[in-house]
Amino acid sequence: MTALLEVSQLGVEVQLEGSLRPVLRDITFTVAAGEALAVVGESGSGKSMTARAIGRLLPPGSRTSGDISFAGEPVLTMSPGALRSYRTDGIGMIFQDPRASINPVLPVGDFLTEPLRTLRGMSRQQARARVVELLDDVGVSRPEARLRQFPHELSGGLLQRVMIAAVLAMEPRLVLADEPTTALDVTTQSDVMSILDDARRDRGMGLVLITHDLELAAAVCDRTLVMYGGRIMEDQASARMHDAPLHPYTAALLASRPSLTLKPEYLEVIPGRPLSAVEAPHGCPFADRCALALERCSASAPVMRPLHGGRTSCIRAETLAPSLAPAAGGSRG
Amino acid sequence: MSSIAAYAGRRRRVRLAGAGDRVLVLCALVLVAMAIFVLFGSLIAPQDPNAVNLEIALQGPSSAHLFGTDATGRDIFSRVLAGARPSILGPILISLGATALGTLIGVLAAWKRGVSDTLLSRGMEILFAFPGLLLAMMAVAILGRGLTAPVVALAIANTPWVARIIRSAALRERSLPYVAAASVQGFSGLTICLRHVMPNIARTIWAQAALTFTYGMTDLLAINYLGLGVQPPTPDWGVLVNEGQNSILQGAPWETLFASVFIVLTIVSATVLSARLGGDDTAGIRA
Repeated sequence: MTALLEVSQLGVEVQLEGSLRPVLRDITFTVAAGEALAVVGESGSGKSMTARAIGRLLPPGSRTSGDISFAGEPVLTMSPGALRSYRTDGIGMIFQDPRASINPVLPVGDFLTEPLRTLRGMSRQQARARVVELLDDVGVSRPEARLRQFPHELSGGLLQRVMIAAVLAMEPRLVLADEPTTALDVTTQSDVMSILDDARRDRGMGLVLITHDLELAAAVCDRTLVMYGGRIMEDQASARMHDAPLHPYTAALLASRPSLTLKPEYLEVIPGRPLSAVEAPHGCPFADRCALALERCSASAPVMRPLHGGRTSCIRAETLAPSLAPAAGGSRG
Repeated sequence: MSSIAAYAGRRRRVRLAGAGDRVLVLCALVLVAMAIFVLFGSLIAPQDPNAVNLEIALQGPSSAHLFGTDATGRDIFSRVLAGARPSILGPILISLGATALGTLIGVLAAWKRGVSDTLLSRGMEILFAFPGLLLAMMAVAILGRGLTAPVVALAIANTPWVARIIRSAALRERSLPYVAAASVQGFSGLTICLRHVMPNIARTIWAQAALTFTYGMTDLLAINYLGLGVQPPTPDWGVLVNEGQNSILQGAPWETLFASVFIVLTIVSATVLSARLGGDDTAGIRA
């Protein structure tokens, strides 16, 4: 598989209280066509910022370093015209909060057909027919009637489906889904995810799923990227990560989840509070909270390196890896 | 199809939401009446507004002359009705011009940000320095008397007020996620501004248009009052206030009084409309 999206050594600094503060450091990963990659991390770990950098939606005044290339084209230096066609044909973005991300004063039908008409040159009837078909695909009942409704008349789940339909309508080669299910209840969540997964399989599009749900990541994505404090901690096959994490942070995250089979008195916690990316120190951002940290962990910036078929940024990974597997191996239902 | 019927019903209810607001209804009625006078004022007028009859000069209100007569015996009621057109059309043009230009500049500044925003905003601030009335007088001095010069000058003078408020509304709007969503779909900036940003700030734009109308009217009638704009015998309300001045001392305040009442009614109604349209934050008095 050739890489569809290649991010290498991406660094982003944003304006904060008048000075530039780094929020992403040394982000390197690839997504192949048809591949699903999960980006997992706590709030403030930089996962959404990564997606925004890929969509060139960073706040004004921010500075980027490194490279993002899409199908061989450098994204960060695109001219306005090239950027528009990259956004129309290359990528589609699904946002966290569908209610805020759809123009509230236009009927849903306008929101859906407008890109097809203005960017794809379809006639009103063609666009309408296509949109009705798509809404049906994503499980929206009575699509004809929905087209006349306004966003405030639809539920969050319906609206998220509408947004997904709008993205799929453009048949992008890569979909960036930024916590697409956060605003939805659990049953709707699985529906929405399976719609995305089907679309990925049928159309061979790449998918970057940003989430803080490790289970969801494992269920939908081939590969998982764990982020913390603006850095990638670990990158490996989702299935393997649950049994053999390559970073103490991942191990701690896995240990702190409730389990279906084990009923412990207390859930494991990671001491301290999650660091936001702007506060991250020069060394390993997790060193302060890591039970296994040594002094040298904070001394130098961690470097991603390959290990056991994945990648890790922990400098002690070789020695620690065998002991990081969850205590009760395979206990999770 | 029952859902569509239900939907239509809901929409009608929203439209009538303002009906409970008695002040608003009253003001809307005043403005509707003024609109009728603008369109058909000279037709409704019971007498020829320019027919002179010195025998009945300076009479008070009576059944024959509802508002009385002026110093040359012209029917004041007819003159006030006929005066609606020049008095109201001018401010409407000022409002249209200032709102269009101000919206353009405001949205452009908010959308482009950076250097363009700085240039446009500083440019507007320079315009703030000129009082509208002074600009209008200068225009008359250069271009000669008549409506064109003061209307153009006042439209320009009112532009920065609109631009400043539209800019801040557009800035707030463009930071919302749906605008980012639209731009990542590949829409051009122009499409996003026209289809997404502007409809969402439409209320503010309408409120500003109504407010600009009142300010334009005050200034334009002042110009006409000073004799720099509309020329007699055209019965503009500003002209009427001026002409009636001398009669006040002779015990006949009717011409000035009734013209003023019409001016105040129109301006108050438009201000209330603006306040109700824009919500309390954009309404009211310019700082």
